[in-house]
Amino acid sequence: MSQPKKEKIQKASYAREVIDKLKAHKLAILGLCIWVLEILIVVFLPMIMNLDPYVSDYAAFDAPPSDTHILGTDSIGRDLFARLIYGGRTSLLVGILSTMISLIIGVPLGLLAGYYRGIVETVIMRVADVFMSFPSIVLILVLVSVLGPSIWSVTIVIGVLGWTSFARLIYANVLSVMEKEYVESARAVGTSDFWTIVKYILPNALPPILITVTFQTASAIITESSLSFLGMGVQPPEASWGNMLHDAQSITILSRSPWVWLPPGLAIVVTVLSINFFGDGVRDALDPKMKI
Amino acid sequence: MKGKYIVKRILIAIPTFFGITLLAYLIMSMAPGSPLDALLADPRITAEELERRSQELGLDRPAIIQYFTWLKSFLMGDLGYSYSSHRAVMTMITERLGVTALLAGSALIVGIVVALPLGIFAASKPNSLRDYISGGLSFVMVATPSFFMGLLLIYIFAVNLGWLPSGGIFDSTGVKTNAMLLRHLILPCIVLAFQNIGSWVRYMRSSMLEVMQEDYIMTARAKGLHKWSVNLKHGLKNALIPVVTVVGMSVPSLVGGAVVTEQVFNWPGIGMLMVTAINARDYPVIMGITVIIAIAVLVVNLITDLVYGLLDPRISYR
Repeated sequence: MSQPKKEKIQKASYAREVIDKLKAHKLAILGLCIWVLEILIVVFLPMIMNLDPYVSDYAAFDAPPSDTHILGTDSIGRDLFARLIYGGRTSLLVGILSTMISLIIGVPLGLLAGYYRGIVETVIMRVADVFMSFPSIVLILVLVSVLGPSIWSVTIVIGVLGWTSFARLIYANVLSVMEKEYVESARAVGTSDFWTIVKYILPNALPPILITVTFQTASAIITESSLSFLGMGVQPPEASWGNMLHDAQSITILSRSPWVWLPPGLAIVVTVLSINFFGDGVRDALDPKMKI
Repeated sequence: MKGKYIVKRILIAIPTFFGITLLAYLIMSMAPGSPLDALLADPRITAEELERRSQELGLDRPAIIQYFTWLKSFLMGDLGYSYSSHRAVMTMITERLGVTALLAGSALIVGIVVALPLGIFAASKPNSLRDYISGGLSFVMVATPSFFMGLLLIYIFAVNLGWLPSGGIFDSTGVKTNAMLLRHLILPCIVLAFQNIGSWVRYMRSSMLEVMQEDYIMTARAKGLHKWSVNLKHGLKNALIPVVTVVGMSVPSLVGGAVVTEQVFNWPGIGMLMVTAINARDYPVIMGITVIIAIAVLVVNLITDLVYGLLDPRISYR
C-alpha cells in the first residue's frame, strides 16, 4: 500500500525541482510571460476594441501613424493595427496547430521505431532521414502550391512535414528508457506491448518533448511567415504577419512606408525570441547537457 | 577500409535520392492541371489529337510508371521542357546554378568564419559578459526571419545610407565587373549567413565547453602549456568534430534560405526560378529544381560524412 504513495512523492519532487529551476531562469519566465500576453492580446483585444482588418478607409491610403490609425494604413487604406492583431491570430494559430499535428504524427512513429526496432525502425528512421536531408521550405512550397495556398493548407503541410523532429527525439528517448529495469520487469510479467508503452515508456520519454514543442512552434511561425511573404501562404484579405510584409517587396513601400512592414516583422522576432527563451529555460531545467 | 566506408555512404545516399524524387513526383502528379491544359486553350484541337498527345506524354499510365519514365530520361540528362517558356529545364537550371552556388557558398564561408571564433570566444569565459552578449546575439539571429532581416538591411544600407545596391547582381548600366558583383553579393550573403551563425555559435560554444572538461585538457594544462596552446591545439581540434556535422546538416536550410533570400534581393538564381515556377505551376521546372537540390544536398552530406571520418580517427569505417 505504501509503495504507490512513495512513488507519487518522488514524482512530485522531480516536477517541483524542474519548476524551481525554471523559475530561476529569468529569461525563460520573461519569454513565457510575453508569449502568454501575446496570446491573450490577439484573442481578447478584438472582443474589447472595435477592430476591422478588412475595411478600407477611403480618406487614408498609405497613411503614416496618426490618432485615427495608430499604426497607419496600408496601400488600400486598411488599418494596420487591426491587421497586426488579426495577423497575430493567424500566425500564432498556424504555429500552434501545425506543431500539434507534428506531435500527433511524430510521437507514435518514434515510439514504434524505438520499441519494435528491426524493420519498423529501419523504415521509419530512413524515411525521417529522407525528410531531414531535404530543405523543408522547398518541399513545403511545392506541397502548398499543389494544395492551393490557404491558412489550412499551410498549417497541415507545415505540421505533416514537421513530424521528424518529434519522431527522432522520442525514438532516442525510448531507446534509453528501454534499457531500464522497470520496462524489463513489466515485459517479464507479461504486460502487453500496448500497456508497456502507454504506462511505462511514454511517461518517461515524454518530458523532453516540451522542448521540441517550443522550438517547433517558433520555427513553424517563421516558416508560415516566409511562405506568406512569398505569396504562397495565408492569402489576403486574410492577414498574417508574413503577408503584411509581402508588400514591402516593392522598393517604394519599403523606403517610404516603414510603418507597413516594421511592426509585423518585429512582432515575429519578439514572438520567436520569447518562445525560444522559454524553450531554452525548459531544456536547462530538464537536463542542461541535452543537445537539441 | 576507407574505400569501403565511402562506398557504404554512397549506397545509403542512393535510396535517399530515389525517396526524395519519388515523393516529389507523386506530389506533383496530384497537382491540379495537366500539361494538356495549354492545348485545350486552342479551339481547333480535336479529341483524337488530345488523346494522341496524352499517350505521347505517358499521361494515361499510372503515376508510378510515369515516374520511372521520368527517371529514365533524367538519367540521360533530360529534365523535360518548361510549360511556360518551352525551354529545356536542364538549360534553365544550369544557367542559374552558378549564381546560387556563389551566394550559398559565400554565405557558408562567412558563417563559418564568423560563428566559430565567436563560439570559441564565448566559451573561453563562460557566464561572463562576452558569453551573454554572444548568446543574446545568436538568439536574435535565430529569431529573425531572413526576409525581415533582408528588408531591414536594404532599408538601412541601400535606401537610407545608399552604400550598397538593393538587389540584382549587376547595375543596369550594362557594364559587368567582378567588383560590382561583389557589391551586390554583400547584403544577400549576410542575410543568408545570419540564421546559421546563430545556431553554430551555440554549438561551437557548448562543444568547446564540453571538450575543455576532458582529462587530456587537464593533462595539457598540467604540462604547463600556454593557455591558448591548450585551447586551440587540444581543445579546438576536438571540439570542431561535432561542429562539422552540424555545419553539414545546415546545408539543406542554407539552400532553403536561398529561396527566400534570392526573392528579397532579386538574385537571379535557382531559388527565384523556383518561386516563379511555383507561381506559374510550371511542374517540370519545379521537379527539375527539386531533383538538383536533392543531389546537391546529398553530395554535401556525403562530403560531411567523409570529413567527419577524417577528423575523428575514433570513427570506425564499418
